[in-house]
Amino acid sequence: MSRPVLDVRNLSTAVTTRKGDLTIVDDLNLKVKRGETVAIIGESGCGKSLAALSLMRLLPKGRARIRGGEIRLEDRDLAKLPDRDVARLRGRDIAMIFQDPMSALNPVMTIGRQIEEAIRAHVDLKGEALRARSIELLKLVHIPDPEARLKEYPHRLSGGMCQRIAIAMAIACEPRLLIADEPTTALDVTIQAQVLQLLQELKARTGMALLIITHDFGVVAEMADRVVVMYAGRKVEEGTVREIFRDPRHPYTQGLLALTLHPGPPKVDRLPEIRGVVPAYEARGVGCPFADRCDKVMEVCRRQAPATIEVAQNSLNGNHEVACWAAELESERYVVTVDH
Amino acid sequence: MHFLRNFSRNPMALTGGLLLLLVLLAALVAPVIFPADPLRIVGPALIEPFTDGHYPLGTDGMGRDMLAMIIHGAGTTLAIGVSAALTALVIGVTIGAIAGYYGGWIGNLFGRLIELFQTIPGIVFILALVSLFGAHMVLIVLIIGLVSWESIARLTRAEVMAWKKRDFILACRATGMTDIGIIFGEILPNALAPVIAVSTLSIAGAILAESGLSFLGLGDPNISTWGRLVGDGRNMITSAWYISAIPGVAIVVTVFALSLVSDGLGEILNPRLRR
Repeated sequence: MSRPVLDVRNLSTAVTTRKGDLTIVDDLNLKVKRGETVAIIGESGCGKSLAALSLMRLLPKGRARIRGGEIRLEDRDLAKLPDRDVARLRGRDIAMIFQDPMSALNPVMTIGRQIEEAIRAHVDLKGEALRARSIELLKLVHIPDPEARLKEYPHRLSGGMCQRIAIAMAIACEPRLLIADEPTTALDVTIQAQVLQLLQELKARTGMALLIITHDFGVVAEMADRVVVMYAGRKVEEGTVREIFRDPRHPYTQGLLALTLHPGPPKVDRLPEIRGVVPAYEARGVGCPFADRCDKVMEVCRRQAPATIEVAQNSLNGNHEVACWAAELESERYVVTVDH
Repeated sequence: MHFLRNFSRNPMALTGGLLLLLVLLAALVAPVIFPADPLRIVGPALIEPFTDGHYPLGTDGMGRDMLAMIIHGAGTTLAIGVSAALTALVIGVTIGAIAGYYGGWIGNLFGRLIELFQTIPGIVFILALVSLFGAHMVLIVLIIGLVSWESIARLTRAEVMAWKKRDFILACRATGMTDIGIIFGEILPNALAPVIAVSTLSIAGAILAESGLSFLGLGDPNISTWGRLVGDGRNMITSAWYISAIPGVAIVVTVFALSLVSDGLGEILNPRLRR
């Protein structure tokens, strides 16, 4: 197994509130290998975006901070590097695109100038060479008539175009890992497919790894090699896309998959749902955070948080892991406790 | 072009702009129509305005041509106002941007610095500094700038604080841009519109400050500004009121024009009010 590009170990991120620190991302472990696509899935408020911002070290100062753990990017630990050094890695080794492409571009600067700034953050290009590189990048993300677009302002472009440009800026310095935080959520369905396709294509071309944050299993099925299911700031299940779709072990994953709509007339009157909501972070007890919404809840669930166990070993694509008492019981015979 | 069209459609900006243009024109033609030193004595003292064709605005107590002095004063007055406002702009934008962009102790420190300057009465501070450092014109410009940057800094700080929360700033940081690059390259171009509007007003403030200083006799004795002319007429205000009143009107008109332009710019440059 090749060494991962990104290796996150026991990452905890807390936000600061008046009553003290509140741990939002709780003991997250995550690996992304070279050229691999990993998806983090979970509903709103389960800490996906905060985890992504932690990886980039872009947490809002004074309001959230990394409490512990390691973020290994190749041989460096981003969690411990000084700000100045992290800034040097951003864009060059690790880059990110955001949910809302319309607001991810500066409204008062031309597209060309913004792309040039992104290039010049790490590469010393000037004049004609800089312009040529900008045009090349726009071509790479399939912007028609790139020379003319360089002079446009963002408000003249559609959301899909803006997202393409944001992608062009993110890959300007050929990062080894691209984090895409809900890259298609704000786009029309037809444009979504195009943007996903573009990401696939760029990945194949540059060999970069991709970490996609999403709440859409369609995106997962389309893009990912491996899936990490997050709930209430914790990883509850991880496995290959195939395993997760065919054999989900965690009741939360099973619930999420049951919610995925299938074409054709509905078989039931009411759409399926997972009852309840994600518990507020303040109201979290010692047990499994999903206990109150779980159909398989047992007495132990409320008493103690489940450990992460391996349910199947798969040397090629990493293991299928789950953190659930019920799943542990069901697969008692195969249990190997994972020790990170 | 777009900007000029909007400017000419805004009645406030247009009125103010035309008045300012008039003042600017006066400053430009001054050396042509009155090539001689305006402070030299040209005729009998105390000719009332509009009574003598040679001296349309009359002469002062020493027999100097009022019109020549007013027209020559336009240039110096405007120059002092603009340079002092530019000084204030540079100081204010820099301090405001730092105070707004950085949280933590740096932001706090600069925020408090702004508040400190807010509490100091401007004219008293100017008087203190001028009596300390002397009344050279360059010094006066710097001192007025040093005293009046606070409102620009407060506005810049508020704007920067609002803009830095936007997603594109996060995106810029994600591409590895430096703080300085983000502040000056990304945030300030967005934040500049209201700052420009306020800076226009601070030209007016600087002109008033210089006038006040000259009226008190603390201006640079070697140049003639409108404020100094008002001050010169002070002794005869009961017998020849026009000596003070004419430059006074010039100041009022210019300041009025500047505030019109400032308000107009505020409307034109505000994207929310833009049609």
